[in-house]
Amino acid sequence: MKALFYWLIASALLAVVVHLFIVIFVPGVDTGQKMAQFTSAAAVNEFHQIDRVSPQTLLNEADPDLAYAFCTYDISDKALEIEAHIPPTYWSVSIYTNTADNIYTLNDTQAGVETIKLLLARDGEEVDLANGIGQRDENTILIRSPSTEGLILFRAYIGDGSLDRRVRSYYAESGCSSREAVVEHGPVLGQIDG
Amino acid sequence: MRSFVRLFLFLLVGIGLGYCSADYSMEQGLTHVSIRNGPWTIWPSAGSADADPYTRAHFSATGVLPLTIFEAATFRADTDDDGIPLDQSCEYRVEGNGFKTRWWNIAAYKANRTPMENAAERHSFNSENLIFDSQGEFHIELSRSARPGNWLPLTNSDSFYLSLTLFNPEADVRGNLAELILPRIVKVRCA
Repeated sequence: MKALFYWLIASALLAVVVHLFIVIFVPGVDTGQKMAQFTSAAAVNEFHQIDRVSPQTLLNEADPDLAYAFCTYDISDKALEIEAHIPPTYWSVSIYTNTADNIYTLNDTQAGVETIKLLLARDGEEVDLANGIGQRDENTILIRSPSTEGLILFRAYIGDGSLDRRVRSYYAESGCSSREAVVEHGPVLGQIDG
Repeated sequence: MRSFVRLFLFLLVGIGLGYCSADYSMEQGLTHVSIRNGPWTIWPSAGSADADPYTRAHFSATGVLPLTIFEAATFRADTDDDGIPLDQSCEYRVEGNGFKTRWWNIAAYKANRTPMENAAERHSFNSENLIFDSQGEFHIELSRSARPGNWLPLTNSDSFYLSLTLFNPEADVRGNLAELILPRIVKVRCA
């Protein structure tokens, strides 16, 4: 009887270990596979539109009322500049780390402008918003990511599809590009630490 | 021989129990990490860098890239109001009112989290294109055969689920996720 009790305790402890192992470690594998799908579908640090939501879409549970675009990023060497042309409808940009943490989201109402630049740099990197590309732009937001790789996802409302072409014309003018980032000085519109 | 049987049972029970409990908690959520409201479930810390391991595991396993609740509150339902799994061979009526939010929509997905193929290419209704009645209520008919009004086509006999997303929800919506009056999912008939 005593032996059976010990076997039950041991089984319960094994169950706890297996449970925690699955909950803590398996998601990292799943997320890595999902991110790999994006990087294999399009070049890193470049802007790509996703075709109208269909059963074959790259995104799981993609919202049929939204048009999507994305940049996968790798900021281990250079920062990434994101220039977004914001359509006159619901729009948002979300930055995800390689573990799918949504470290930053900005929507059209919060932006309050028609064009905005985001500069994505890794934690601790010195950044100069005045150098690298042209002159300082007051509509530049500096975002620091704890992860050197990840995904930037753009969403815009197209309703039943009637706004699809219009939204895509704004996406066509948007882009992601690597840039040198050096010493930081000067104000920015907004800044967050990831 | 007896030791081998004991070892086998030890591994079977331990691994089986651990796997099943992890799968259930990642799929359905635990009381302290997901909120149930009728047939609808929401994971309020989705997308947050401070999310608990179960929320992270849920979204990693589903492959969904969530928005934080400040940007969008997404509820999902895979059963009707009676707790019976949604089945495309049945007909359903989803009915309710609007929400204090910038805009919202209801979409239908197959169990593999992709939209359902249908000739009409209609996968959702939103607060802009829904037809409301004179009392401000909406009714969405889900069925394989065409219906007048707000009709969301079903296609085969597989299971499916609905998502309800509230974009830019107001603070009192975010703070009352369990008490919000959400759409009812009523089974009309089954084939």
